[in-house]
Amino acid sequence: MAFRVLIVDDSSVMRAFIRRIILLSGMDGAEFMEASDGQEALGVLRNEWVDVVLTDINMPTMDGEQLVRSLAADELLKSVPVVIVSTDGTESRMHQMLALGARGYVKKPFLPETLRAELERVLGETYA
Amino acid sequence: MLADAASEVLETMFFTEVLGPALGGEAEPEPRRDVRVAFAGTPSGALTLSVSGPAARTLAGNFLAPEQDDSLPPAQLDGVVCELANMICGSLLSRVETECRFRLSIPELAPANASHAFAPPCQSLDLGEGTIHLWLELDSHAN
Amino acid sequence: MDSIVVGMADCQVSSSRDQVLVTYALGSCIAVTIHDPVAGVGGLLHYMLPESAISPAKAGENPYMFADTGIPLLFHRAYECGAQKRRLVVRVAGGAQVMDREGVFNIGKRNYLALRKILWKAGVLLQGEHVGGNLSRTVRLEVGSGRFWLREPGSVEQELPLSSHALKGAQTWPSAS
Repeated sequence: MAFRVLIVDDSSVMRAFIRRIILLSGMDGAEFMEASDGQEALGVLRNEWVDVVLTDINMPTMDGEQLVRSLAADELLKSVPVVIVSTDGTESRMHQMLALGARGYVKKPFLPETLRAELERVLGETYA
Repeated sequence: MLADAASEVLETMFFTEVLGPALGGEAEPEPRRDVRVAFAGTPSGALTLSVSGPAARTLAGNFLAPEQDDSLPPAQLDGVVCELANMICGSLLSRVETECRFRLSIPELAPANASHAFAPPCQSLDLGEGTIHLWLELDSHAN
Repeated sequence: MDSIVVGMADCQVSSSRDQVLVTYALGSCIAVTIHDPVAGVGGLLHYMLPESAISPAKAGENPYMFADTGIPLLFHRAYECGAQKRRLVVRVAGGAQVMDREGVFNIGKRNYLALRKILWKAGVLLQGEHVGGNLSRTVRLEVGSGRFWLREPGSVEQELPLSSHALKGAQTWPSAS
């Protein structure tokens, strides 16, 4: 089955930017699903198999922190690896999100290679 | 700090260099795109970004890498300008030494040239192909 | 191994596995190396300036002087030797802050931003970079193995690993202002 990525960001142009990086990273067979907030993301995750979630924090309706908390509390979904992609570059935020269960963290702005490296690291640790 | 935050975002994700301060007075045949991001924390306030037409097209072309450079619809230019404002604001607040956590609003497009005609921008930056202006307002009751 | 020297504003592409492409004294200039491990093709471009628009006549004479004319040509020459885009390993070095004739230090950064823009638009990510700072660099690419070697004044030659984690980004430059 194809490698399936869920990109969660309220900005459609940022979702497109992230999608392009993953395509250019040689993850040829990747299939993309998108959501514009945490609520939508949970809907996708409860109905579809997803290998990795990339999520923003600051979003309307349900933010990335609530999404990570919801996933951590869900027996079926807590093993899905989550990488945070956020403008919040403070150490305290990063530590908090990792403590809540996120596996990786990329601070915006980022170079394409930085996101690729973090994604590869998280996937390597999860599916090795 | 505001100019540094803008430079960091423009260089890293838009491959665009800030050449220096923009000199005012140039004719602008097309409307600018203005977008505002409010933030709550200590301090609270708002960042407004205004991007000239040519700058918006160049930045969106660099960010989205479309097949043809002129093919981006206005909605995507809006989206790119909103995301730029969001990242500059985030980058700026990440530089503020504070224990407090900031909460950013969703970027909102404002009617072009409307909200800030009265106040000179805090920063006007020349990107070569167009200019950006930045206004930073801090709430007066902040510590 | 046979050394092929790549001069300033020059480019060499080779499919001889026993050859090494080498370029010296990269200051604000940037070396771009590409390597296809399957086809055994390696290429090295040493460009000096970001954009050909400042002198189309010079670019016509020597497209390797500029990033926007030199980089596409480097890739096309490698494709002619059998390389394929999806297999290419691309690494870069240089872009130091060295004073130019006008006493300005930012040609290195402009060279780097031009490179980043061209590669992103062309759909190419880097597998390694060693950029910025203020020292000149020497780069060697082994055509057979694809190993990328780097030397700075006063230090021993070291291999740039195939690892994104070693990347230094645009943030390595202090603000231009």
